Amino acid sequence: MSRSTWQRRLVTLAIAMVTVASAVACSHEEAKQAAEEQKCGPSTSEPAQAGNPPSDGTVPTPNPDAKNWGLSEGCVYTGPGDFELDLSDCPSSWDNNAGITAEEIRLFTSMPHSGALAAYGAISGGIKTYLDYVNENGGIQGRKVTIDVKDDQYQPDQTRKNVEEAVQSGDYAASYAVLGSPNNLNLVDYTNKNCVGHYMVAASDNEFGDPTNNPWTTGFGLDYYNESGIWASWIKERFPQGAKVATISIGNALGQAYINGFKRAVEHTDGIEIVDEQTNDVTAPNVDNEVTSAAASKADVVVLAEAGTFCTQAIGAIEKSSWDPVVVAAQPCAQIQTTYAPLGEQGLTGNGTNVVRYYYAPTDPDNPHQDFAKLYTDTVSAAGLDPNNAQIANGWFWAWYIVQSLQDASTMKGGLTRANINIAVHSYESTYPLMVDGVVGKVSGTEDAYPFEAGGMYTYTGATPQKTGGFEPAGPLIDNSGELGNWEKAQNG
Amino acid sequence: MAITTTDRPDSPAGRRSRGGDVLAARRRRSAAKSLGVVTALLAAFSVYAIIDGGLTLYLQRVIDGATNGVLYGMVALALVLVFKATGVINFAQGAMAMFGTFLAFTAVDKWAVPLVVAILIGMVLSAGAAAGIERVLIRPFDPSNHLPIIIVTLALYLALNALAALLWGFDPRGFPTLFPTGSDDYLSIGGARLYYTKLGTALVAVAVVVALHLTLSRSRLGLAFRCVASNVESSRLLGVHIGRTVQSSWAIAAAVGTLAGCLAAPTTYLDPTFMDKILIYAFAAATLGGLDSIAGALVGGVVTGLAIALLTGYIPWLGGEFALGCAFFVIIAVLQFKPSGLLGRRTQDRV
Repeated sequence: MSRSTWQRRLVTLAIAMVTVASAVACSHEEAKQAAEEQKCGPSTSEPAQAGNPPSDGTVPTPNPDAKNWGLSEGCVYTGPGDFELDLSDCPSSWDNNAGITAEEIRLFTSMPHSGALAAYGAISGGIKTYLDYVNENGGIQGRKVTIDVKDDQYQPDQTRKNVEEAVQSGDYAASYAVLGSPNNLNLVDYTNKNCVGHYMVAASDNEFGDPTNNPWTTGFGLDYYNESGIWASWIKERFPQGAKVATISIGNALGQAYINGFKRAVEHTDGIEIVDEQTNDVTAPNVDNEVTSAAASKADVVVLAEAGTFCTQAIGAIEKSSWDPVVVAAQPCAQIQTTYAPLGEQGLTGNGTNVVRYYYAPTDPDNPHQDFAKLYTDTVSAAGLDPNNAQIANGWFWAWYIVQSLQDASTMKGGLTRANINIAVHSYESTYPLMVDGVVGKVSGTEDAYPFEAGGMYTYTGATPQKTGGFEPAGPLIDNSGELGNWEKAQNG
Repeated sequence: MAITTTDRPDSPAGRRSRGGDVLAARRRRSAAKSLGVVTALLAAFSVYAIIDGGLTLYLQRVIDGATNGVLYGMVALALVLVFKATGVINFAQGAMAMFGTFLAFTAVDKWAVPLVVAILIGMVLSAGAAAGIERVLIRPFDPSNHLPIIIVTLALYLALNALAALLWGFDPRGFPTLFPTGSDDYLSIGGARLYYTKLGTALVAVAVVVALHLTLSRSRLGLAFRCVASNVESSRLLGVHIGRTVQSSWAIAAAVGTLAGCLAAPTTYLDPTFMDKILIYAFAAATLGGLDSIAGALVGGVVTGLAIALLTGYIPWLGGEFALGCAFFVIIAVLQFKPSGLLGRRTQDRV
């Protein structure tokens, strides 16, 4: 009897243990499934109210093809251009719906709002006013989009700290338009390891167009390689019999990126020869020595990959010299007020300088899209900002494309999730109303990571020492779409 | 720093005979020798340069280098003025000059006064401000202990830069010039162009150097400068008012700095960092010229400017980025081989 009691107890204990173990296993499996669902699953919220964008073209509408992309199977999301995003390697606590609710999509950014380069931070004012306009006009299919701006004084370490804090808070869907080359380069490893959207950075380096290795980072704007590629194409058109080119560049990463891109483009263009390369130190008081050296090469064309005061100094010194080359200048040398206006006091004009333009500033007199320019001016002025500030105008341009991406992501399979936003920023095709005719912002997965690959060369003309001039087209639009592809291809020539 | 023999009581009629002053004669010989070495080096390099790139290019480089060098020399001059009186390098000298230039710019731009008057306003205001800064920020510190004063000038540099950025922003601005700026307003020297703006700047710089040299070598103020720099305690015993001497050196240096800024701004363009870039080369110029020599500052500036233009121009692998390296090299070489500079006084300590 006692024996049978002992046996019965053992059996009961064994059964109890098996029951508990399987219950634990089941709940663990459930928890695992829940975690997987949180990480890879579809959207968990529906917009409270449906909203439709206005029909006047002032807010981008979703791309009809977008509904074919998005959640594919398990943790894999797919988009056009061979783009595949696998969330399996993301951190275990990663949430596909963080920062996205029925009412709101929360983004954040980091840029200088104090310190020497605080002026660049004005771009956030432009972004916010355009997002406010979108929110008042239907939002992102019913959801409002907001952006929190953190100040980093253009210090890369502070940028990284800001981003880490924002990520740890779990309140945001993605970062967007973080400003500055060194600042963004300092983020790429962190954002891609932690599956944090690092989209449409406000820096033109080609490194940001690397969807295969860094799928969570995307660049924006005309990148250095495409811009210098447009120079090469234009020089070739202008000098069909061939041209000798001298370059004068600022001795930092910006100048180096332009020169690398230009050399790559020259290798692909017959007849252009770089006969002299000058680089000035960033601490140089002026660039007279470099201009004298470049002039000695008697080149037909000079390329100025400069920034800030060096632009004005170089353009002025060339105008004063006995050398009379065709002057091609980089984007930082394309601002009339900062680059050309100061020349007047020296009795110079800067007339004849050629720059790439791919979208109009709303205040450009030659901008043919006056309706949108008026909307911009009215909205920005009503918010108490200066519509003439180029950074605020840039903010609208930047904001247009994140709105386009969010619109697309909302219609994708699985609904608006962080993964679908990632697919969307790799697959948009959209024309901002102020683009130069013929230029489209288009990316396509791993095949085409650079959104802007076309532009026109414009010549600065009509200035006198007393008054500034304007830009006039210097030939037809140059379209190098699809030639560069992505950073891996660009590096391999 | 140095033992001065000026105004020795036994000199006949207050001036010593040339041969009678062993120290002065030795100094002259030393200066002549150093200048000779530098000139010979430049000449040798010039022969190579002309053969390599032709005369016109060489002349253009010399013009570029010398006219830039004059600007370095003007700022070096301001450094030297403060150094002569205090034995201290004022790291805020460039920032003060930048601020004074912005004041002159505001006078032209906002109050529409003629440029000459505006520059004078800028010089007077910056001299006054410098005197005030000296009284409030510098004088509380022990004049014979240089380190705290240098730290204060560094802080002042940061503060002035930040203030200027706040008031005027970072966009470059054009600055009017005193000289004709037409497209034909240049001298053609063997095909090279020397614009009147640059020629005028150089002439003004030379005039300032001559005027200051005469003033300071023949006035009580100049004597007081050297006395204070040499030994604060003895100067006090001799009845020299230390504070006022240092204050006037700050004021004169600020005025000279502002003038340099106003002469440089037309070609470098005006923004809150424009003098920082010149200041680095001015350090090299001042060191090369001898930190206590007014003429030396200008000579040092021109030699530095020429060295940069010729070396970076004719040695392709150096490139423009080596300009800063040139300045650094000049400072190290001078400190190593001739610490008193080309025209400076050698330090002599009584044992």
